Amino acid sequence: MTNGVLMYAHNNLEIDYLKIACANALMIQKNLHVPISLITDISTYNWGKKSLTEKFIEKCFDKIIFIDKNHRFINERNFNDTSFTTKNLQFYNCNHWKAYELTPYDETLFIDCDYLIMSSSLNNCWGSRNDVMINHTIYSPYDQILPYSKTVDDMGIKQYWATVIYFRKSPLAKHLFSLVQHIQKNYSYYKDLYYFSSGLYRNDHAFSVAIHMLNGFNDFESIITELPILGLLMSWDVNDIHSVKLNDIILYVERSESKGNYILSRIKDTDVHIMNKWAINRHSDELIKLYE
Amino acid sequence: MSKGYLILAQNSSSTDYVRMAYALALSIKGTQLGVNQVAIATNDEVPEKYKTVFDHIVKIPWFDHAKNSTWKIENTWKFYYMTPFEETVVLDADMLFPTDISYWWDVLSSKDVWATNKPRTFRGEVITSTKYRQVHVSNDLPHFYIAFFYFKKSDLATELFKMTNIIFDNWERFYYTYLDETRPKFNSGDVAYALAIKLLGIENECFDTNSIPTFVHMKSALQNIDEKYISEDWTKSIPTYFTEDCKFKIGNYEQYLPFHYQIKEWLTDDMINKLERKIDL
Repeated sequence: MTNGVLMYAHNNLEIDYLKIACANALMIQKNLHVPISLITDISTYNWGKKSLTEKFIEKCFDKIIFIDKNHRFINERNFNDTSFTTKNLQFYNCNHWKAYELTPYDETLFIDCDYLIMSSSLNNCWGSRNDVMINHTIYSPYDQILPYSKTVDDMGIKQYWATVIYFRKSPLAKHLFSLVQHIQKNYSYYKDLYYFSSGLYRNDHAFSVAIHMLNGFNDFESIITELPILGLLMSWDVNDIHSVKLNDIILYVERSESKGNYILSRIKDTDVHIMNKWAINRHSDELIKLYE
Repeated sequence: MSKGYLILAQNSSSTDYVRMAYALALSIKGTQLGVNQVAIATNDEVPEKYKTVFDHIVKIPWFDHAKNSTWKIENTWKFYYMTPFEETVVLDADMLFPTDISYWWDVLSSKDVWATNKPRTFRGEVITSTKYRQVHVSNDLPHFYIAFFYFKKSDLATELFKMTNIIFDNWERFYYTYLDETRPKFNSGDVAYALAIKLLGIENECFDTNSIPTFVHMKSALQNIDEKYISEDWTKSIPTYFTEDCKFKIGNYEQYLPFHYQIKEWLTDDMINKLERKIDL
């Protein structure tokens, strides 16, 4: 049985996802000690060769899997860099359903490159009796409330977060990913049926619908288990990074309903989803230096 | 031991409860592979066609205490004396059964009385809203829901129904003596039974932490949805998909639990036709 981590990286005009993935790969090497594969496209890779060098990229990943980009897929969204800067950029995320076919591992931790691994918690997944694990429970730094779940809409189904997915090669996982493919191909239909507020394609929503369908159109008792962690720690894109150390990040966390009013929050030995990509890009050289 | 469902159905000037009880009986016959005996308790006329799905039609004992009432709850203390079964699940008429819950009976049989205290939203979440339960919260009453509760002929059930009878006969005095200012200004089955259970000190005998018995309670304000997004009449905000084989989704949620639709107009003739076809009626 092989196991490893799988990440995607497709750069857009401003966000260097490959550099973020490289920094995170070094963090994974340090904390999880498992092989890492990257799925990317040739233009992202060529940019990385120039900016990071081919030798460095190969040091970060055990395997690089190239896929062609579908240039007809237009999926623009607003990316926030704190509450004060917003840019509308391409969000290339239409191929996550391919992870099942493309992974070189029997057991895969499929993670977003901005989910920074600062602990060994996810090593508890290996050898799980669950074929798929994915979280609906999340929590936020400096939050007064306990881990919680959201729905995709006020009337809608439970939201799962495709940020981290554990799966093993199995009929259930295969079925889940093929359902996600189907939902993505018919997204405008599912968007209306499940009351998604915008037309932006989100894997979170596609996986939520797929899991809802696999559960027999109910969330009462899910056949998909959550990951063996408290929940996904989410640093929303209105936050910024103050400083980074080894497995130790200090964040500027914007207080809810108080724009521009930040409080410092320290995340130590805990994995965290940093949704402000520019914040990671600003600190990625430092992260690489720390973990290299 | 005979087992079955008991539905008290008394038509009011605006609502045909016997028709709703008929639809409920059809759904029980169409889904329950185990216990599927149904008794209706009514003094109203039951149409010939309806009679085919009721195993027992019983008259309301003594006289009709709800004769001049619109809410028709005044006879709900009489379940013990109406039921033809040794073990009974009492149901509200405005419910449907989408799936087989026969296995619940084996669990329910372990107690003499077992009431629902954790109904669910259409999304399957346990209802946390206490909007309509201020009197329960304020007076530390157990959350008794009359819409689905089990009892067997037993000393405990006898005691409970006797005490409930006394409360029904003297409800103003009991509510004034035992409840604070949140007390209802009218008699309520859920409050009277809850008070009877509390006064008898049998909360532990009548409830459990199990996920059953339960049902989906469709009162809008209980759905864990911000009230600005859901009309007081939930059917105006959430669509229903009712299939030929009588499975149904509310919004995007397939319903598996006994479903208390509450808005009487939700039950259409088309649904009843489908329920009839399902059992070849």
